[in-house]
Amino acid sequence: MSTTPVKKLYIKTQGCQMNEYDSSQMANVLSSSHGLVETKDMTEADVILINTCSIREKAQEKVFSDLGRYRKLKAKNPNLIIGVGGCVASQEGEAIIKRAPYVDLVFGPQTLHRLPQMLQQRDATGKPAVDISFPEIEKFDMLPTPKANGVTAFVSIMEGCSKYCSYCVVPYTRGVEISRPLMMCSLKPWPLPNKVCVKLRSSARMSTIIKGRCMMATWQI
Amino acid sequence: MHDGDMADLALLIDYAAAIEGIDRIRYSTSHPMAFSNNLIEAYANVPELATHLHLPVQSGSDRILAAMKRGYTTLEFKSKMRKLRKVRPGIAISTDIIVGFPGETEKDFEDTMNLVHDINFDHSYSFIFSARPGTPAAKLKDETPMETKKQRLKILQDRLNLQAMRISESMIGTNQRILVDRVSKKGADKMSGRTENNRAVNFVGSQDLIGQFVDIHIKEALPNSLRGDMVDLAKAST
Repeated sequence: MSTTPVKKLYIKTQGCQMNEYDSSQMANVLSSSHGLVETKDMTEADVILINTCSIREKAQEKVFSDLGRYRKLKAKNPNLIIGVGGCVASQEGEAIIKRAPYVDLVFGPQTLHRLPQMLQQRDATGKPAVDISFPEIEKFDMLPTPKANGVTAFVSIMEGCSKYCSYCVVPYTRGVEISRPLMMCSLKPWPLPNKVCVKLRSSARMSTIIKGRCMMATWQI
Repeated sequence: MHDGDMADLALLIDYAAAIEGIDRIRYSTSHPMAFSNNLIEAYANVPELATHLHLPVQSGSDRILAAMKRGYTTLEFKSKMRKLRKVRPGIAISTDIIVGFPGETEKDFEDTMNLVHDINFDHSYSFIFSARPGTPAAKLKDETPMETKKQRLKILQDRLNLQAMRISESMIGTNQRILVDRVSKKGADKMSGRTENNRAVNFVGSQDLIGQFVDIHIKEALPNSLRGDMVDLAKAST
């Protein structure tokens, strides 16, 4: 009987707290679907994801210098999968493949839960898979139950932004404001440790309205 | 509440606080327009809500705020902060600020510095404006030299650092409740936790404290952390 070696995932995270949260969700979905285990050492990775930031020009430039580094790893290991997610991916889409044809996956902040299918598609077709659409609430429905990380737990309560401040790229890269149904923000089923600092996390810059399909029975408080 | 009704953040905070085992709540990131009376009331009524607010103001000049399409004036911002401090005296307020927005004059920058001073912002994030393709501000005329923008950023950051340091220093000699979250980087016999105003505190303690709230007598303020002793230990040694 042969044992399949454990496949490893390396994630590089640029930018904000929303990206940090999204990166942890990428690790979650790929652990559930493909049994990928996170590594801090990119040279031993089978899948490398870079979760990008476009809030300022400097961060955006860094994406392609990082990709250049991953390209060298791919020269040594042709099976290496390279994915670009986050706001630069959302903004550039196919253009990333044009500039860096060795990239296998391009996905946005609102399609990261589709990574397992995109990985399969890449395997089946041998061609890069690109999905930077905005499927609205689907992301919340598809994500595995989050785990408390140490003594703190993040609860995502909304995504995107509809304020359109004149300098800000967020509504274009993360999409318009979508609130999570109140019921889904329920903390009850979480494996919470003893004492917890809960951080309610909203994407972008807004956070006061949560659209509620409120069902009191689920709260039991 | 009924199915289909809208709930706001204040209500969610209320619900979360009522759950056993959730003893501290933070949220990020609100917008001054969305910083409602209900939220201010939550600071009055929900002790689990941390005594710290991060609320991005971006500028202290009404002219620039209008050009940014932020939807509020500095007066409105200040009025909300005054209401907040009335119900939570001593709350630490941090913010995000953009310097060098297209057309920002010396006067606009002074207005920002005045607001920074008036609110006494705690440790905050500040950046030089970066034109993002496709946004309206990217098309604005921007005649301020980069050198000037860098100078303004330096002046602003020095001021913010000074204010943050003074807040840290004012905590020396006080007892602070921290949530212990990890073994300290300063040594295996030391633990680290966070104060209400989100400062890391290092102290001598055991690993079984992780996940517990402990009271720490603050003895020293460093640029990125505080040092202190567990209150019980301090009593025992005197």
